[in-house]
Amino acid sequence: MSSKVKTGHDTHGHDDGHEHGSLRSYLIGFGLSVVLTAVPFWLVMSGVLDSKQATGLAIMALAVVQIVVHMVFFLHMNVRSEHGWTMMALIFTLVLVVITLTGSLWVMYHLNTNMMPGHDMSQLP
Amino acid sequence: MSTTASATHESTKTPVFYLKDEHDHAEGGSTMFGFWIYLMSDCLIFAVLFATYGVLGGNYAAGPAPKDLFDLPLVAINTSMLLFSSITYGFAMLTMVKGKVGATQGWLALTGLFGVAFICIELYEFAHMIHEGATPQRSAFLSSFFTLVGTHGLHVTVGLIWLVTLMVQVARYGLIPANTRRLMCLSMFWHFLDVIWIGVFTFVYLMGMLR
Amino acid sequence: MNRLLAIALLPLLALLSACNAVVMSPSGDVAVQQRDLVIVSTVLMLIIIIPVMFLTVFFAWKYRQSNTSATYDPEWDHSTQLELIIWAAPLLIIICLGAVTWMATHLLDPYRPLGRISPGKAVSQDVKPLQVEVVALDWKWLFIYPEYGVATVNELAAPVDRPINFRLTSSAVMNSFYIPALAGQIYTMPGMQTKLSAVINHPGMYQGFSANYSGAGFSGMRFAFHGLPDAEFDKWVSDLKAKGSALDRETYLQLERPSENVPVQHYASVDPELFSAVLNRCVERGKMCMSEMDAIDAKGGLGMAGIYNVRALEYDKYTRRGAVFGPEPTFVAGICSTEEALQSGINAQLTTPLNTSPVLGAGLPRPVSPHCSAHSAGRRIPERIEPDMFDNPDLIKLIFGRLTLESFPYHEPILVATFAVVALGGALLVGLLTYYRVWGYLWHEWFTSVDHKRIGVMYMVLGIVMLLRGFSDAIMIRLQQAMAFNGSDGYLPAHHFDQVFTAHGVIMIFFVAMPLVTGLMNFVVPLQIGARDVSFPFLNNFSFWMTTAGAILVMMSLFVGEFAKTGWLAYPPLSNIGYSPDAGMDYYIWALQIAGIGTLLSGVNLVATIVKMRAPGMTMMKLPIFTWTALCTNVLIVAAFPVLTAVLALLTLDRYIGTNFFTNDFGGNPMMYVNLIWIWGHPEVYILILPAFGIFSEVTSTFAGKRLFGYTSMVYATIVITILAYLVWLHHFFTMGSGASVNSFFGITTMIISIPTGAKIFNWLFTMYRGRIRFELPMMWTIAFMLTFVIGGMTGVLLAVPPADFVLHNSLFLVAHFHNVIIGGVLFGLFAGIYYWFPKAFGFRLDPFWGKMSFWFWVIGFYFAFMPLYVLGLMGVTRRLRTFEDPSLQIWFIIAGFGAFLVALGILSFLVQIYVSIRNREALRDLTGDPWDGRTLEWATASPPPAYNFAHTPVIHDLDAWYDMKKRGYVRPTEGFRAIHMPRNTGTGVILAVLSIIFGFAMIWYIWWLAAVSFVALLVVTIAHTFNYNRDFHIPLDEVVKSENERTTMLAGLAR
Repeated sequence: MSSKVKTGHDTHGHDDGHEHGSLRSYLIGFGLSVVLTAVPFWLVMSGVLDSKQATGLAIMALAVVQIVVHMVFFLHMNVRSEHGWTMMALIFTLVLVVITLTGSLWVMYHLNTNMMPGHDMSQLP
Repeated sequence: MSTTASATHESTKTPVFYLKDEHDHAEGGSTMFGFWIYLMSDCLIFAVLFATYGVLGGNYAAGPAPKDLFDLPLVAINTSMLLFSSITYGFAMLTMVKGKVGATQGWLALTGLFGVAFICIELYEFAHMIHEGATPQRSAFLSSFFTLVGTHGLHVTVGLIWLVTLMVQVARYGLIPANTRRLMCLSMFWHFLDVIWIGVFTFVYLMGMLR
Repeated sequence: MNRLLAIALLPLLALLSACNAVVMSPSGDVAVQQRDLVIVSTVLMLIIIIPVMFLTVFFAWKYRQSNTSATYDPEWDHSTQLELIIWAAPLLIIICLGAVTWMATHLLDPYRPLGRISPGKAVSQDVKPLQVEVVALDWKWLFIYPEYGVATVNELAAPVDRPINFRLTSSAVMNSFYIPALAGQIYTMPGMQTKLSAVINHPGMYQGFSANYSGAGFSGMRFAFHGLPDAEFDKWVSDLKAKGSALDRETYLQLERPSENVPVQHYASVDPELFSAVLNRCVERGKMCMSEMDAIDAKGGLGMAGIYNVRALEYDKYTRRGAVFGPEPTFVAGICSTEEALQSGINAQLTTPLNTSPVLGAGLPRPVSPHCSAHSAGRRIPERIEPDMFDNPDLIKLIFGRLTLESFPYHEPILVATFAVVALGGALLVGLLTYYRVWGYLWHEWFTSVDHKRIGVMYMVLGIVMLLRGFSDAIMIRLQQAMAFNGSDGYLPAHHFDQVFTAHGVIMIFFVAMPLVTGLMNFVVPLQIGARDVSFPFLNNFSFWMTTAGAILVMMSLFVGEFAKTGWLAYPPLSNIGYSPDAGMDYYIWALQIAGIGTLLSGVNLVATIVKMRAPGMTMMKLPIFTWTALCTNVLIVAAFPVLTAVLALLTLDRYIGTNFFTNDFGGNPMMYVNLIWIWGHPEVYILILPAFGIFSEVTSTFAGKRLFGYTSMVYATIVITILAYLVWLHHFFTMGSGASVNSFFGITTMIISIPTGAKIFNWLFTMYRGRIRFELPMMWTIAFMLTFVIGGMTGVLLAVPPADFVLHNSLFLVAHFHNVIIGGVLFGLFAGIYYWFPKAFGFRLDPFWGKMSFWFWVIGFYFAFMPLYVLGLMGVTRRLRTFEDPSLQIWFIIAGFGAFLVALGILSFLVQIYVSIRNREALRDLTGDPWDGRTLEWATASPPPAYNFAHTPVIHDLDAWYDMKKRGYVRPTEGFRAIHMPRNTGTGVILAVLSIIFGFAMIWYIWWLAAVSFVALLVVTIAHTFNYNRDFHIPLDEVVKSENERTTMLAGLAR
């Protein structure tokens, strides 16, 4: 029998357990996201990087960083809120999003390569 | 329920099995968390739409491709509208915490204006494409493009309706706890749509131009 | 005794020996290897299944309550060594099976060229495989032999011991090519090509058919497959050449039109490019070949120049199936010549860029047909954006959309009779309710209630009512399939039968299993965690009514219009507008979307409740196991239902505004639908079964009078299942042709799920071990579950082995498997749960006699109904067939029908049980609130619990909280009560649901004005509801005191 009883309730009534951020954090977040938006647009519109693949990877990476920035500075994500349940929900969702996206692409890629008639081009007159 | 059950002692023979002294159930204690769960489920709707776009996005059906249709400067302007609306909503939250009704309403109105601008630009883009013949029916690529971007736009529209409703409610009832809770939910919703938009402009527009 | 047993078994053996289990004794080497794999996998699994079944029976017998000499150890709940074995044993089996799967999947990949002719006989280098091109048409098979330049319809022949390379496609919708004696099946898809390598080893005539439901004429899609010695095969070919006609494109287009039960046809010559043209969907003049389109797309499309080039790409979007249910199809060969194309201004841009790119030259030549102009003049080009109704915008159509008098099935006697019965019954019910003046009571106390207990009960009522509907569909299927032999058409026409099996699946999953599961969770979870209600009581009420709204829409389809004829998951292209233009499919979509909103919100609600509303002291590892499974189920709901919502929304867009997600046209891809819907569909299975697992855990622990064995591993098993549920979806379409690596990945992940599931079974076994088992009804259901479910689990793992799935997929074996797990798992669990918690909900127990009648009828009926289907599956009988040719199958269908009759008696007994129990409620009354000597919190309060559940919030110290309280001298407080803060009832949920029904109905029938009005009304009511801030009240102190004192008196009375 545990000697200490923890409460199952995470919130304590009057405090909603939610952070509102500060002016500083909002401004930092805004600044970062402006930069993180401008750079990929610039990369694509000016075509500074020679290879399309490199540009693609760069803008994907920047998007991931920007998503994290938004999560931290605007959505105030942290491991403490709701005793970590919000974070847990987010991580679980991200795992499923990755499964849905990559799984679908993987499965459909295989189906398409196996089944698309395009591969019979050579047999056509 | 603010009382924690601190009253258990191993030494006493019978442990405490119920709270003798409890406060009223805190109304809306689960709202923020529940809304977060809802947002996560919404996130999966977008995941499906992104996956569909990923699979079908290259099927132009011998029609136009992204590079024929997308206007990046317009998308950049649109993105900035959403970014501005995010920071103004943030300011609204900061003034809300301080209890300033007027300032909060002002920032909310500004947020709404940016949101309306975003929707208008998007509608203009859609109308332009449809006018040129690039309708959602033209190819699987266009079907998935219009649906993904349109679903985001629909969410923003819902957010705007909600925003107006909340502004009326704040005007009528002030920044009572129920209203601040609702404003915080809308805040999550609004910033969440921002995050989705990052995916949209990167994956659909920028990557599309690279195809 | 033994002799009796032998006499009983004799007819069964005679039956089994008489049946031709073609899957178990095939004549082609590939099928032989697949058969061997089925046997090896089964044997591997029996290693663990047989001991489990034995232990179940043995423990149940040994630790029965009356056997007081057996050891009783109520606190024994953990043994590290034992738990290690519990996890390791299934793991080892699965490692073996996984290795077998990996190798076999690669070896038996249908795309792989054959390695051998028969055991020990390799393919010799000089033998060229026979090439056969297969086209699945509506509803017949076309076989083209390119080497010989001949073709046949509904007849296939191949020389013995010569490898055959099939290339397969379909003309319209998805089919599955299956000759059980030769090799496993493979899907045929329009615009796509699958391949199959096989060989036939013994001469003879074999059955071939489509194994995937494809519409009204599906049952007749049979063909004969002749395995012939070389000489006879050559003779067969030369006969063909001598007497057949020619198959050119025009003939093909005639042949392609839907027709049923087509006799064998022979063609002496074939257009050599015909198969490529069919595959690339450019048999019609003026269509762009898909290969050409793909090549253009790979180069980045044609830009704005190609934008109006639509007619060349429109393959079949609008009513190619028109001939079957409506007027003659309007399609004829389209644009014929470039000049004409230029005149019409549609195809103009196509020709210019075509000549500029070398790749594009690869397109097929487009010969000009002499009949062309006449035909193309007759072609109707439908408006692309607006559905048909705007063609003729008269006032009636404006008001009623496509709803006409003909939409009411007054010409169908079965439906008219049903309607009469339902109408009479409904009128009687309404009359009675009015007579006894209970409308006000129902409205104030139930319909508008936000009390989770009442909502839970309403969910259960909904589920039971819909069970009656879903089961009458089942009876209709069984009756039809038992009758339709020897040329008899049975009693159901195709368009009715197809609706019946679709409705059966949809109703049983969405409107029976889901409401029952949700209802139980709603009722039990807040009580188990010591909460006064769920997190969002209004949403709870709203969710219930949305689910009900979906159910009402499905029921409306019986009498207004029709239901979908697509199978319960509605695969496109069949479910798309071109092949299901009628309202049935729209009923499906809107009913599921509306009910889906309810399901999703109730999922969010219960997750938040479990996370946020637990009583003090209840840490996650002290959460009752049912609540744990409820948490995981609701997490699955929240994460899976959005996928369903999204995929149905995409299908809706395809059907309503003509987008191209899942069409055959304009680059759409129907396989994406199959992929997405199973990303939802597989978690859905676990959404249903996990709470059942939770019920069995509670029941076993309670009736064994013992702590649950291995609580921690049970929790982790549940979590692992939750996550793995998302990694297995492809096993539902192994036969689509995704290749060996993808198939074996998903096959193995599927098997891995059986490890935690196996661990759970062992945990229940060892909960029984050293218990004192009371065989009350819930425990009986649990034992029946354990014995039945392991069979279903075993066949499930068998189906997860891809090459075994090739021979069993879409067969009645599959049907038997999922009924085995859903009835044997979910339904048995629900019955255990209903019997277990009924006294908590109503204050009196259910009548045990009628409960036992129901139990035995159900269990025996289940075995009679579904074991024959396993046998039929092994005989190569596919599902969703309306008529049969082979008379030797009939006896099995009659046995299955008898089983369904027994189940009907089981349902009847259940209803009688409820009636008898209500009549005898005083005798069955439980005053203690704890009739089963329960262990969890819900038994700590009164039965039925007061609106506020607990007068004082309980504090938890132990997993079995109530058991702990009883053991350590809990004294029920009789004073110190307070007024209790509770949510207020509201009618908004009902109003929103009614508006949703109107909106759905308007969308289904294209009544746009009504749709707009009801949608705006929905918005307005929702927003208006948010202006109501006054949503809760206090239950006054004297009311609390009064109801608590009543219980005090009651308990005191018992003590005396």
